[in-house]
Amino acid sequence: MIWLENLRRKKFMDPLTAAFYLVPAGIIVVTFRMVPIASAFILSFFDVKMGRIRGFVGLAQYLDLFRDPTFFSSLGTTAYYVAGVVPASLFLSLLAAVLLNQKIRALGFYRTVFFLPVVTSLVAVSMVWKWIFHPRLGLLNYVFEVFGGNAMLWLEEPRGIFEMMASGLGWSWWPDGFVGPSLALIAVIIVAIWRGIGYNIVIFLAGLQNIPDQYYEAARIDGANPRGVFWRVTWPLLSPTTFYVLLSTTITSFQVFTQIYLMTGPPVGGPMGTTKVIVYYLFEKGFDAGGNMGYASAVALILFLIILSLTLVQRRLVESRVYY
Amino acid sequence: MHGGAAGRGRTGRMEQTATLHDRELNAAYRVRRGVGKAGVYAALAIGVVLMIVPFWWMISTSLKSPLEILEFPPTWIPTGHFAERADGTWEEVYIVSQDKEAGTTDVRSVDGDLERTVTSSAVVDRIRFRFRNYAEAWSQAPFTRYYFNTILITVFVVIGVLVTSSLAAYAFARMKFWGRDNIFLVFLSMMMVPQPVYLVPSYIILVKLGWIDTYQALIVPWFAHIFSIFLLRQHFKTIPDDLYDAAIIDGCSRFAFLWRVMLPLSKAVLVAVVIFTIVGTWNSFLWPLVMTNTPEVRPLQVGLARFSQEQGTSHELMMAAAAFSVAPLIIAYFFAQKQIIQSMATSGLKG
Amino acid sequence: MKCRLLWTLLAVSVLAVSFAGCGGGDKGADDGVVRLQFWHAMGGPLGDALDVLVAEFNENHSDIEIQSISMGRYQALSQKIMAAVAAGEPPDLAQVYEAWTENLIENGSAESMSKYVNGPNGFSQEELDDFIPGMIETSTWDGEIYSFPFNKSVRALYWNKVEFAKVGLTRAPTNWDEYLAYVKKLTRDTDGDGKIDQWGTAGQISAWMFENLLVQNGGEILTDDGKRAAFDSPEGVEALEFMVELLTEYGKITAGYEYQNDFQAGKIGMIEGSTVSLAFMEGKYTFDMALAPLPENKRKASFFAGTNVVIFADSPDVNKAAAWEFLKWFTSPEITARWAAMTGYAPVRRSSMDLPVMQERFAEIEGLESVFTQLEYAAFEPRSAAWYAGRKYLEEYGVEAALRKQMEPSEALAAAARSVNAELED
Repeated sequence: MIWLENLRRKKFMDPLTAAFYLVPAGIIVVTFRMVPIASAFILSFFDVKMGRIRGFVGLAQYLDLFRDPTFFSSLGTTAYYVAGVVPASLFLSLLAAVLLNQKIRALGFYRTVFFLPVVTSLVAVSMVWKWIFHPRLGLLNYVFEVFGGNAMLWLEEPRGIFEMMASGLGWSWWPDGFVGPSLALIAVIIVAIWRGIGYNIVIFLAGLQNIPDQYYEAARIDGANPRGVFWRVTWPLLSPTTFYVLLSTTITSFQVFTQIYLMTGPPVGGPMGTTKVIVYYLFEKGFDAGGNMGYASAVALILFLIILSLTLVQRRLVESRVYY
Repeated sequence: MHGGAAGRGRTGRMEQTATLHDRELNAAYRVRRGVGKAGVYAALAIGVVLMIVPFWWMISTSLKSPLEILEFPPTWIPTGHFAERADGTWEEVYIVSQDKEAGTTDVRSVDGDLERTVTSSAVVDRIRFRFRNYAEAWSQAPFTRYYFNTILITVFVVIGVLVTSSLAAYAFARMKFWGRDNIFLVFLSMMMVPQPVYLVPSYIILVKLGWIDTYQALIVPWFAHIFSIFLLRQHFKTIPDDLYDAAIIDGCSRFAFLWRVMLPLSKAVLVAVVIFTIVGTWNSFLWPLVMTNTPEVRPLQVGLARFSQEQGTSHELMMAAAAFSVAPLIIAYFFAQKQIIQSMATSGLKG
Repeated sequence: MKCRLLWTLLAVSVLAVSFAGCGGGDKGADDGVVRLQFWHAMGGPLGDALDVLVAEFNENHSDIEIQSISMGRYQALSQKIMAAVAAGEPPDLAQVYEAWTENLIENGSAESMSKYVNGPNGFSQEELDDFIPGMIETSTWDGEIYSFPFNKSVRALYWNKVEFAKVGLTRAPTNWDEYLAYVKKLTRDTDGDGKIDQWGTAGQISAWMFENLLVQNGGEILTDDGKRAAFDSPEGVEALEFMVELLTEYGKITAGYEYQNDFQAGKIGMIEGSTVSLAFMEGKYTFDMALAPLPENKRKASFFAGTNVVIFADSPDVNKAAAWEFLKWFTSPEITARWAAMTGYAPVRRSSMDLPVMQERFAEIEGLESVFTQLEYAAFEPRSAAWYAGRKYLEEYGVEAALRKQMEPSEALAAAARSVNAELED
């Protein structure tokens, strides 16, 4: 028996045993993730209609993509969405976490409240916010009116916010290319920030509490003011946490689908297609109107490459500044 | 100290007691020099209001009458108009029209179509909660069944995820085999693929298995959860090798080591896995939407979305349904919030 | 000891899988009953009505059991059908729009019904002539009938007689001039706070409404050969301008069917809607309400909306025959009349109109009978698969852009026409 244990310790037996341990998860992952994902990607080189392969088309669908204005507009919409959600969510959650990390009375209460939306289902969240954004009966327009603002259409407003601001300032003309995300998309972004902020706060808070207090003391002895303490101690020591939050928020934002599906329209992606994000676009292509799976898969692969490269770039960029 | 000791791995206990005092000094210092405490509380209060108002609005709307919904400006607390009947009792009424000159109001009973004219001063507003909206919403769709389905699915998925993730994470963290890190990377990269991408191929696979519109379709594919494997692997790696070697020398089998040493040391992460799985399964939408057809296996979220589409415009019923759909997790959260938040925090740190 | 733990764990997971397996119903019980899956998108009161009729059919046919499965919205239904066809396991019967039918035919998934219609258990010529004109034709491709009319509706004007009376009107408008004049009159500030609180009309962004106005104004959706857009004609621009004026100056645009809620609450003088809206409004309004046919302009015109039912080619022959039995039963004068009375859909048979069940309904709902006179001249939208996408462009780039004041109606229609033409060329 000793020789057997020796064998094990020397890890000769590892591949076999490892296989045994990996089998339960492996079967599931391969069957329900790997195979579907791989076949989706392979299908991007085929003409597929209603699930039937009509022939190999090589890169033709990728070339079509580059002539597809809806593809680019959905890419742009997604970029607006990510740019709207990620920095705002990061900033607000970091701010809240720093505030909560002071000696705060009833810390648990605040944490509970901020975290509440995270455990609330997206379906319910979408229903409630759609009702809040209601153009005539909604709470938000009521609050706006109380404070002397004008009622807005929110989820039904296709105009870009820059254009709206410009016309608010009395400018009648605004360049077409710079109208910005529609107010409808902004509404969706607000909901995403609202729902996700609690998770980020909790993670930031944990990160902050892991910073040993000696560092603060050292900075204090050096005579740093609170801002200096933040930039010289908190920010660098928090950077691994910040990186994690940045990465996970970016990835989930690129994959946004359910909110769009439940909150916008009819038709989904409206008004005037201004909330049609990339994942909804590929869903529509692959699932609606004829089931053009091949084309949808081509869109999906591009999206995957974008997420992957952004992840790598972020890692590279941030790693050089992260203090472990 | 609010961070759980288990989640704080390497921070020594001695340090913790020392820093408590430091933290107070530190905070006092910041208050003196920086933003006043009042400012901090004001900022937090604004945050709390912004987070709470949607929930308030959901509950408040769910307790209003159908016509109250259409009133603008809306009421913060559900309020009805009441008029006195001839026999001195009060009944809730809708205001049909008002004649300012004559000082009379035409009202209609909420529960009937009877219209009558009363003097305006005889109509008073009173707070009242229309709890029957909940009963009505509940009875308009098979919510009991939806609830049962969701609970059943969640229970099985949690068990499955715990088993498969601990085993796989153990292999990834502790064993050496060909291509281990590459396989792990492939697993991780699959998290970057959004679900709609592989929905149709998955559907085809489930059809081939004969699983469409069954519980299996909602349970088995979710037995493996890549993020959980990732979390557990990261944690397992922090458990020192010496421990492992010692255990093996003591004649402990590999599995016993996982069961007796690794898992007990990973309670916080396991709780995190359970919580992630419960929240994810309870709230999953697109997959069950596509993979189920009939109410017999339809989970709560899909049922809720269907309900809101079919109601279309009865906001009070929609909000009631939304409220009772989110209630279980929120109640569970109130009871277990400490664990939940610590576990979530753990997940971030290990990332 | 150690191993026992492992086995316990494995047993638990196996148990989990097998117990989960119990959930799936066994569908192929061999008792001589043909079980059919019928996928549809009938929700709310429509689904209830359909279930009543399906239950009745099952009761009267001991050898057939129709399993009525509602997929929610049409969009969800089409996605389910797509996925099921892709997986090679479609239902036996499903509701489909004409444009989907074309895709299904091309894919070899739709069964030709001609052999059933003309077969021994089919319809006589006399019976076929009894169908509302065009209903069979719109289901026919290259001389073969691939779908059967199931739920078809037309648009109607719903008017609040109380509000009309308040401004001295006694009947619904019959032409565009009256339409505009009436909504103007009905739009007013009743409590004197300087804000309009009572609107003439309301509606949603809808290609269907525009198409009706377009053809009433003498325009056409597509050219005669169906190869190019024709809705951007001067008639079309005029129709869209009319629609914009109605809905933005004297009315409100709401998302989805919200405008019906406002109408039920008595805040709107009149609305256009489908005849099916009746099923959703029933019992929710308290004022005196009546229906009327759409106002006409240069000519009378009305388009059908709604779906047909196809039988899938992959089903076994007994299922197909049973499916046909169901369709035949469902489109019989008596049943289609009851379906119409319950839901507001148009009966598919002319002789249904004279049956007591319809007559009772007409007596109940003022104006419904006159609305159904539109059936005699109602037309069908283009049905090609390309128009399915084209219609979206018309709605989004044309109608929505104009109604949301993003573009002038002429610009919007020109932009929509460009996209539609590109789609039709492919």
